[in-house]
Amino acid sequence: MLFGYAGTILCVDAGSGKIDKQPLPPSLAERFIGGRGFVAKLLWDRLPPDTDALAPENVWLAATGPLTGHLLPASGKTHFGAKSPATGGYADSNMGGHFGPALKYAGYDVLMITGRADAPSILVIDNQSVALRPADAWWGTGALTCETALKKELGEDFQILTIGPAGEKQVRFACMSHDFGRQAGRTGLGAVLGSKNIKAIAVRGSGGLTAFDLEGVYQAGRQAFDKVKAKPGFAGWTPEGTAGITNWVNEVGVFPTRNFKTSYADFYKNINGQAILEHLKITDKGCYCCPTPCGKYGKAKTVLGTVFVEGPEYESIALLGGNCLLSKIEEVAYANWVCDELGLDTISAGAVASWAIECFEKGLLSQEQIGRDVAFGDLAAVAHLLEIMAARKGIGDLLAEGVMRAARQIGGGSEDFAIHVKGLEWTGYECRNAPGMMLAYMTADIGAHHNRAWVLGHDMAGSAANVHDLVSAGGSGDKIGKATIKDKEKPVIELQHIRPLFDCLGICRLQYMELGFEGDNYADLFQLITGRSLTWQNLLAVSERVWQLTRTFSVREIADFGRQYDYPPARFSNEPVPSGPNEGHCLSRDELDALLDAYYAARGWDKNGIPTAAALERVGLEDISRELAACR
Amino acid sequence: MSITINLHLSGGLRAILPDRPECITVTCDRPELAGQILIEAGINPRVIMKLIVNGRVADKSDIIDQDAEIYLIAPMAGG
Repeated sequence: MLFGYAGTILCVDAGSGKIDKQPLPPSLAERFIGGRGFVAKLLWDRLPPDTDALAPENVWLAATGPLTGHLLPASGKTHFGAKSPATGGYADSNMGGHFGPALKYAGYDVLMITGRADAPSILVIDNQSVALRPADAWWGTGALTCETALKKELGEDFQILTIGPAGEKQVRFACMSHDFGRQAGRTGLGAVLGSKNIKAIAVRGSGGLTAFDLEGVYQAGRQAFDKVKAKPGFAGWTPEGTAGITNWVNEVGVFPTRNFKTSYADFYKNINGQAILEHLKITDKGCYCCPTPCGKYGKAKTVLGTVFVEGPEYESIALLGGNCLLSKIEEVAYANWVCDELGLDTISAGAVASWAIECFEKGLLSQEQIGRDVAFGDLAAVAHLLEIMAARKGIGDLLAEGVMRAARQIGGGSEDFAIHVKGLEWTGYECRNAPGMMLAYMTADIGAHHNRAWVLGHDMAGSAANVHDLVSAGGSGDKIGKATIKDKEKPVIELQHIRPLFDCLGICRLQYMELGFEGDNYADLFQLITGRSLTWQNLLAVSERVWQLTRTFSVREIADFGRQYDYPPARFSNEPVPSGPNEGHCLSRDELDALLDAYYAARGWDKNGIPTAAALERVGLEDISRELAACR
Repeated sequence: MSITINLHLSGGLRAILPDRPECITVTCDRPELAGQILIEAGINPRVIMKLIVNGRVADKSDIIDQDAEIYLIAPMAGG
């Protein structure tokens, strides 16, 4: 018996309607743990090489981990994956909420969807009953609206995942929505679901979970909740949630503003965590079993209307607030709601909107093309851009392709300020004087994403500080010296194994370290649930295996993949930060190359960033090494 | 006048500053800025996102004028 797992992969061919329940291979669990590990290996195995990301043959996956659904702090994570419409390479994204536990209680570790339904459909999983139903009534509705309607029709005990109009239109940064504010936002997985004509997935699970030592898990779970709640991080961080970092990123000058041209906003206190509490919040909102609810559900009143919305989370504040210069928290929340309802990733959508505004300012896009004047700081303009990109209306059809593809077509130097890596838009940290974080963005397996290795703290630890800086903390008058690029690969690689490990285990990482839990606690829980005696270091070794596999997947799928895909946009090398704490700093191409050289060497990759056979074999991927050689 | 301050470093902070112990005690002979106390303890204040001083969230520019237990929280990404 595979303790900790439901034991079944649910395979749905949306084209034929065939439902197949396959046993979970024990070797898959042993080698890849779950969640992200399952996504990576199943994509490698099941996706025909060179498949177009929006073709029926693409494989859309939802996977849980062995800890998902147990009575442990924040064990509600679900991991999703496919070949990315944004990058053409490896894609994954995760979300909290209650979907994963429900899927597991229904009896499935993994849901895999292939094919394309003839007509818009909803996949309804009611324990062992699995069926595709017509979705004509819901096609075209907003993601939040659709979830509300399906809850009403099917019952509150169904957990619902939806796409919005952007997913239906296969916008390359369309997200998936769940629980009225949890999104698997990144890499365009909503577009993949839309390409399969799947509007929503509803899951009801009323079964149980297996554990090697069930009583031990109960006891450990109780102790875990007590431990998290006893830590001061609980009281210090939870009230503002992820938005609580807004002050700090401005203090250290890494807050993206004006399409990443600048890195500090003098209005940041209008859009920070405290502003959410004062102007928006109605209640805290947490995911499954979460003792530290970071969701803030609130009401935002703007000139464009009044909306109820969860958030904004920090990333939405950064990309819609800072980067589009929306300077009131209500405006940021409204734009957040527009994205949620349309099914757009707030990060990519904010990046695309700010890029389009800069193009308009530079005369590269006209009023006639866009349909109106647009400007930074104009909520109506930002909302208009979001709406036309979600509908693929006019120039919105090009914007829906993301900044990399749009810039290639618009030209005129717009590639230099199309802020992405590998085709995935950049998240909420400007890094021209944060070389470790820059390297983390350059080498993240899905593109420019922060959550694989967040090393800004390490970068700042090396910066000089004096008491004068502190007295005026948050002001733009104090300057930070040029950061060193030495030894940045070490913390990046270490965290690229630590943070994605939580995505394999199926549990939120926000309880890790700051909020009370440390690595060995997870190894103990893993052992109680699965019966496998793996240390924290053993678990990290599995995470490294997954990292090597996701890179190798992109090597297989993108013909000319290599170093050239790891560079950031030219803005970060050619345009020193014009003002704020990091004024005058940027990272030259030589410095970027030095960062990559050190990273590739430490990874065991060749000079072009391709994993060598030795590197793959070292982490137990001899089979992958052979299969890659056969493909190339 | 003598003020004793115990600085407690969170797990995340110790990952960033691996050579620092879990608790650092600093003694001051007059009220001092929280940020200055961090510097005297060998901690770059820029690494700190939040301070919790005697159970209450505080700022690096706040003045510490009595004995204190200060919990230091490293920046946390998310969202």
